[in-house]
Amino acid sequence: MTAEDRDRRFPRRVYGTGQEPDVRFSLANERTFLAWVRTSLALVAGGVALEALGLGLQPGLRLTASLVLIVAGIAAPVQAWVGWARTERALRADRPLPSAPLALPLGIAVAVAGVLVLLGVVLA
Amino acid sequence: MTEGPASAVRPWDPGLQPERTALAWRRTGLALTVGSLIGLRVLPPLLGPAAYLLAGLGVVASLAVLAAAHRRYRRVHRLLLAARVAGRSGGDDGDGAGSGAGSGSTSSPARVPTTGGALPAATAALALAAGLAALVVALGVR
Repeated sequence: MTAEDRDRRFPRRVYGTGQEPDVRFSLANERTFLAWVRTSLALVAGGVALEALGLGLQPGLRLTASLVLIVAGIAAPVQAWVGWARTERALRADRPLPSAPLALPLGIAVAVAGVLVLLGVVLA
Repeated sequence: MTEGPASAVRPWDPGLQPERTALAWRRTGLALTVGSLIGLRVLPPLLGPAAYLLAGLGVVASLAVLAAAHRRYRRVHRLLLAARVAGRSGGDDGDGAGSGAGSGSTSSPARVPTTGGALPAATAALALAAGLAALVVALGVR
């Protein structure tokens, strides 16, 4: 039953290799995935709110900041999924866990958006 | 089989990992639902009547994620408790009858195949769709 269960699980790229890890590790990996998804939603909501509320910022800078946030919010679910799959694979193979390659770009994007909003306030 | 009241009440993991994960799913599902409902308000002026279908699909999908996550937790909970009972066939520390009998793969209740990647994949896709819809809103495409 166990082997059959494993066979049916998606994606094969993850569950086709290695051994079942301690379920607590899988659950922690899942929560990290979910945290990335919520981060994505927060970035997207921030970008939309910026454009929708206006806030009296310089329009060009405001739109740029909004787009930076939304693009980051589109990248975050990719990191969520790819990171989840790579981590689960590493857990199953008992290998060191991978890093999150999009973490730094996303952090920079948030900082850039903050600077743009600041400039938008100053130059309004 | 010998699942007494104590083993039914005592959580499988003292760190409550399945419960924390279930709550993380709930937070995420609710955030997706709220986002879809906002889309229902924001998108129609930009995209026309098709937006109702799009955002409505988002709402339905978010609620489906919440429901699926709930079922997922129930399943994990059930499998883990079943593995514990199978692992030590005496139930709790009590009676010595049959204790230590369970060996092999079931003796390690932590290594039970429980979760899969289908729900995470669907959730990530939903978040991605929300981001693309937000891009349309920000650019004000008519």
